[in-house]
Amino acid sequence: MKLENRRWTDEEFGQAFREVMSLYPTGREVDLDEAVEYLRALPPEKSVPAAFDRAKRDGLLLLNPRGGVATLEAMTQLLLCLQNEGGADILPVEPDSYSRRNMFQEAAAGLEESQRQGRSMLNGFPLPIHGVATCRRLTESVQRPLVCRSAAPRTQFVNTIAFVSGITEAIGSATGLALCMEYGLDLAQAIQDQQYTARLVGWFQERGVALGLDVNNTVAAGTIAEPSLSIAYGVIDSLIAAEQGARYQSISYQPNHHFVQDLAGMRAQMKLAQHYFTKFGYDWSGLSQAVHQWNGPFPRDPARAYAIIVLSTAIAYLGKARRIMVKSCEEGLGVPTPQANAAGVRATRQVVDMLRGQEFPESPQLREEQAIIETEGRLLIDKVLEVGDGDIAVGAVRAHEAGLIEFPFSINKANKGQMLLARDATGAVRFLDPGHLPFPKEIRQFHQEKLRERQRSEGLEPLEMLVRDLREVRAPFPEAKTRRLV
Amino acid sequence: MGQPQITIITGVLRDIHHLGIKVVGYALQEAGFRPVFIGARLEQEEFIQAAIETDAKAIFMSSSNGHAELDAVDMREKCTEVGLGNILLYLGGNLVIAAQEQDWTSIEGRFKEMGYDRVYPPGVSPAQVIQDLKADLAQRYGISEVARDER
Repeated sequence: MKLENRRWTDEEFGQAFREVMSLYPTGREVDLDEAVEYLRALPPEKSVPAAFDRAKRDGLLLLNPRGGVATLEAMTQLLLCLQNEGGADILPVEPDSYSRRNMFQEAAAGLEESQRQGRSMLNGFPLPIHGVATCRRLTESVQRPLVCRSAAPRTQFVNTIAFVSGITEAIGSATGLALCMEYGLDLAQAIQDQQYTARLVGWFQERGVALGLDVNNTVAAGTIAEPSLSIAYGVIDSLIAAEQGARYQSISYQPNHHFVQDLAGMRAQMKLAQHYFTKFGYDWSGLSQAVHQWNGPFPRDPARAYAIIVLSTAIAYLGKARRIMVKSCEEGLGVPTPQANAAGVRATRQVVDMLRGQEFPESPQLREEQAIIETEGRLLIDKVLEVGDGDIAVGAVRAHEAGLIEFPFSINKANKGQMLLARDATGAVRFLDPGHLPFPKEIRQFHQEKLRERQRSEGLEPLEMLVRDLREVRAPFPEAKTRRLV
Repeated sequence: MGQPQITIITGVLRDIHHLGIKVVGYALQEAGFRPVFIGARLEQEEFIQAAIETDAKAIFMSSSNGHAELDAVDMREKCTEVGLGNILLYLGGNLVIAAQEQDWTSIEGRFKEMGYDRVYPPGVSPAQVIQDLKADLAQRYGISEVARDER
């Protein structure tokens, strides 16, 4: 099929559905018409879209931890812990890496080995191996809505099983996941794979079943991201999903933990998303914004890890995000325990409760920062549309080939890799080298000047600044390094 | 253009963590070299094949999943077998399991014994790597000048 940003026909979707479901025997259990009845009968408290509607109405920030283990028993315990001990608003079902990548034989072996050894040998819950009936037993054992956190590019099978099993949201990001996770995956192929999941969501929507799509475009392979990049990838990926009929979408903003820049970036992201949805005639009323607690390297010290969680939460709340992806104080030590994840949710809730009713004050700095970010975001998105002759999907492929848009520190060979970022003296993220991004001289100079200020104060070479920024959420001031006790 | 650019093969050995080697690649380009990033989850043979195809003077391998003591062995021997005995081999990253409990000179020594010319821990300054490379190129190949950066 030729890549185009147009809604798939029923024939095209039907054929793709049959091909996807033939990948593994549990696919034969999937009956979409039966699933419509099953999902219609779910109580509203199990619906992610309903949770977002309520959050928007009441000004809430939904707390969404992570987690996944191999067996039904252990996974049920994990979810009950996050629900009862953590007080999470949305519960995660993270599939293991094999299930995300359609490596079903390996996932099946891992599940068997986990059952034999009595501990999880997989880094997630293998929904495709368990099949619909078992997955429904899992979702029916909790009282919160669930999201399938399939953060990988080729996830049609696992997402289908998830929806049919009563999980009312899945991750889907046309370009972001391929750019973040895969070296060799062709961008056009990746977009089409994600069009499937978005079309599946649209198909249910047309039958009165609201499902959510987490446009998980956190433009970070564990790194910093200039806000206009969060915005551009969020808008591109959500427009592609909207064309397939996905109405409830959660767009991610990647915070750099700089109050002014992040709050300006979050506002600009929603403003531009609404602008482009309106331009193409899509309904933006189902859009909401998510913030991920720091996605980069965490300190091993739990006290320092908690500090990061708190700051992420303050930014998400004051920026009026509707969901925060919660981490734990054990993030720097390895895969966290259920109890540590539940503790992360409680720490996050504490910050939210303390900030209730507060607004970040307007200021000239905030307005100036937002104006720059918005200008950059428009330039990026308009350029993608221009080189795609108005087709955002085609444009995304062509713009990456030419380096006109770049995913920060992407592993994918489709990414040009000329662009570099670094923090300035205040911690805001700037373009160390904008590569071929379509920015005029004034914008390039603005970023250079900001970075020169840091160079002067820290006495570092540009690439040394970058290396420090990649290794820690914010490296200590160089002179202070010798005085640190740890 | 004056003298032809010097090609350096860069990539990630059987691993996906690519940030460090990407920064080094950028530094190489800035310094006038021609870095060729060949990807991630690579086998040693893929580095060697790429070096043959591009007439590279050095191979920069990155590994940060802690498996380098298993994954990086025999590289020098394989290079020699195909006639690349002289090629510069650089290795960097989070090379061993539990590195924080080990002395860096001992880690470095293990890999130098395997035939690597330079071994770097995470966070090495890119400028240091470039300086080392220039010194090694002069010593091994008698190359004293690198094409100017024209950017």
